[in-house]
Amino acid sequence: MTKVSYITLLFLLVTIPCKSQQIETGVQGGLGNYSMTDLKELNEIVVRLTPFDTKMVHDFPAYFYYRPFILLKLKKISFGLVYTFQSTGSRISARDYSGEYLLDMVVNSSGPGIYDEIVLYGHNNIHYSFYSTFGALFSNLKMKESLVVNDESQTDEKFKFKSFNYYLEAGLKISYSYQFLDFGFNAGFQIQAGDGSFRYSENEDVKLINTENNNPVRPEWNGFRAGLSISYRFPQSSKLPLNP
Amino acid sequence: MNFNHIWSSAKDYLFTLVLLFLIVLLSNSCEFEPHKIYERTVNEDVSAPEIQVVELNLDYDTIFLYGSKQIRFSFVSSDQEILAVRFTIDGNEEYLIKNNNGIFELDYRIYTNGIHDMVLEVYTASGSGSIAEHLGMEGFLFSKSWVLYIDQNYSFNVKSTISDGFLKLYWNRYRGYDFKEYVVYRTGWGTDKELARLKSGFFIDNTYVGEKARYDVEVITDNGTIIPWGFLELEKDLPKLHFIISESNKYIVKWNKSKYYNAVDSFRLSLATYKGFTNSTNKAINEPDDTTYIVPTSYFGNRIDVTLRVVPKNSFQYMPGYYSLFESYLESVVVGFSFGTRNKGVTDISQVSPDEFMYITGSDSLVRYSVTQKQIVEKYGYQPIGCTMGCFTRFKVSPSGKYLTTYVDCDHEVMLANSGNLLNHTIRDLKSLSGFMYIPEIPVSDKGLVIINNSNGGFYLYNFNTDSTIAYYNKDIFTLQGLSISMNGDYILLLHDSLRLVHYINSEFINIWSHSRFNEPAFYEFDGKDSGRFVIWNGSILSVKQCLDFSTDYEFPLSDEKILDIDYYNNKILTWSAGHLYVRNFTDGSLLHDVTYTLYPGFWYNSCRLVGNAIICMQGVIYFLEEN
Repeated sequence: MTKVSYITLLFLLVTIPCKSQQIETGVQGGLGNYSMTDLKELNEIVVRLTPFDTKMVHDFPAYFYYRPFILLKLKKISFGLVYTFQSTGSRISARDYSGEYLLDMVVNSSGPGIYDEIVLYGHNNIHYSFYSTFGALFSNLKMKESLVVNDESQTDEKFKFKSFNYYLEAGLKISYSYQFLDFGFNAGFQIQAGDGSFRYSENEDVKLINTENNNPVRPEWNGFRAGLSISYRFPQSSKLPLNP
Repeated sequence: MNFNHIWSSAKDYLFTLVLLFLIVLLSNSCEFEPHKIYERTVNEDVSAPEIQVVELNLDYDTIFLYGSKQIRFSFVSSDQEILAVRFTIDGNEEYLIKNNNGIFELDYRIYTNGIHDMVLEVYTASGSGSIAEHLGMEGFLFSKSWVLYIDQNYSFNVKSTISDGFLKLYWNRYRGYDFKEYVVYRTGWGTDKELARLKSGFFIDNTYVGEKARYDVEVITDNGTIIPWGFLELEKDLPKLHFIISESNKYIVKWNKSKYYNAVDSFRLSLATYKGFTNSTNKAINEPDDTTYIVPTSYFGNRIDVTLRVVPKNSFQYMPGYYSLFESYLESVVVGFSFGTRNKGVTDISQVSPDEFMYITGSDSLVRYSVTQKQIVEKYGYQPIGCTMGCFTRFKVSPSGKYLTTYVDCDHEVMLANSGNLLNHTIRDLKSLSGFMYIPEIPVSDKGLVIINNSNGGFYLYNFNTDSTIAYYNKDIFTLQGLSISMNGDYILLLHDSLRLVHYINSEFINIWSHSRFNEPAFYEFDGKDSGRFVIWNGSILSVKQCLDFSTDYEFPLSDEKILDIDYYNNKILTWSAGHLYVRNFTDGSLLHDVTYTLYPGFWYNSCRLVGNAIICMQGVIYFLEEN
């Protein structure tokens, strides 16, 4: 078992609720923007070198992220495990009557991490909190290039790359409690740590390189995150946890 | 906390975990997917451009290629850009340039002879701006094809024949449309002369008479390009010389009529002896139809070189420095009727019968030749084993010629043979009598008696037939040499303190005649027909003596310089004096024949013998005498 699995198992055991605690579980979903500077440079090179004019119709836009979580609530503090899945991508496209060219890049990351939240202020079931989370980032890049001219495929290539890094995200959250449900809105910023670059999935010795500067290409998940969440608390008690 | 509370919390907890797991799975499936497409703006309906030829040096639909050709081209397009120009031959790309102009070096040598298909293709952009156009997969193609006729062997096209006594050159026609004219050159041997410019495919050279020559033909095209069209190297085709000898001593140099008789003015014939050191005769023959020259009989016995030079009526190359081109030769011909074996020397000619003589040829063959039959009647070869020395040495015949002795083999054993049947011979080792390192001539009689001179002096009288020593003639203070023995073996001529004729009788040597050894007679020998006679010539009187008492049978004056031979069977004598061979009557010395002989017969290789009506000379030739 990996280190992460041990930590998860330990957390699950300790979060078995006792009388003064509650378990909060839910899912957060939102929009994140991702800088992806290296991959954008790579796309610019492709656009520049292609003999016909192309357009980058997707350039790693802000896209949804999903974050299920399970927390142990102790009065003002909650902490627990989160899993973050985020993705974005790009497309260089050109199409006319004679053929079509596509270069798609789809990059995603799976990020198991530790989440904590401190209630800063609460009034009438509305709570203002500070949250932070950190964890691992397992990034995947899927590249697909195809060229069809006069109904004949000239190129049809697919590549997969992988990368490993860390992340840290912090922000503010406002939540509203209704019976055993909590509804929240959060806003924060995620920073990627580590310099793990993309390596070819079938041969990790092969790196994805920017051919103009010979630098390895990395994912860059840095960016703002804003999302909504819904969570469920149990066991239910008639009395809400003590909030400031 | 009671059990119900715990169970309720556990259920919620498990439910929560399952729910989270499902959420994780679902969230992973909500991945970003690119979906937009950029539709490029292109013009699909573009009309084809017009291609204008600025330069293309291919004027005709058929190209006759006799050498490498530069195809220069330049095109412009009315609209779309010219992307590339391509040449294919038989479907294979031979030239591609991504430009609208260029030079295609068409190397004819890489193609096979015959007809090929050459296509020119001009590619332009389509003008649509499409992806396919940008990738070179869409455009307009303009093409034109030519028939390519390749002839790599034209250089060998120039051939020759003879037309009405002149050399006629002809060649394959140059088929290119740019033909202007042919130029014919005579080249080589100091000559590089233009003979003619013409449009026809043949040329008659009225200067050529068969000499070694080279002709070059060039093609001149309309634009002045010179194409080497071929050449022809002619070896000498001069009249061949033949040497014809008749039995009547006519020696004729003959040659065939010149093939180029209409170009021939005359002939110059020269005879040279001693390989050109002496130019004996130069003769102009002005009538081309005259193809014979009779060699004077005075050349009998001489080794001559014959040169025939063809003089052209009109030739710029006929100059002293190049006379050899016009000459044919007959070299090293011995004038006379040949009897010897070609390329083998002849030595030791001796008469062995009224009609036959014997000689050694090549040191390894004894040959008996019949004068009347004019052919070899017997040949006996002997190849020694273990050494390379000549086989037959110290050849000697008896006075009549019926028997002969010679050393054979490497260890110098002596062979006695009947000259009438060489297979009838006996070989003996006589070194015990002669000495081991001494190989003197072995004089022999018709009875098988031989004289064996000993290395210590003295000689043995030895019966070869019985292998027995009969007598020994001892020397005293003078050296002793047995010179010859008479037919019957009873008289011996020896050189001791004096030249002596001795009679061996009753086991004793009895002196008959003696003469100063320091002033020997000019000629002396035993008679070859009468065993009891001895012939002696003192330079002015020839005497025939009786051996028994040395009395004179008869004598007559003879003042020639040399007696070369006496044919006792036919009663003739051969003498030489002042460039003439004389055949005289042996009875009275009267002249029977006079033959011019310019060589000195005192040298063994020029000496001659007389056998019946033939003079046999060491050069391997016979002079036949007319019957008197």
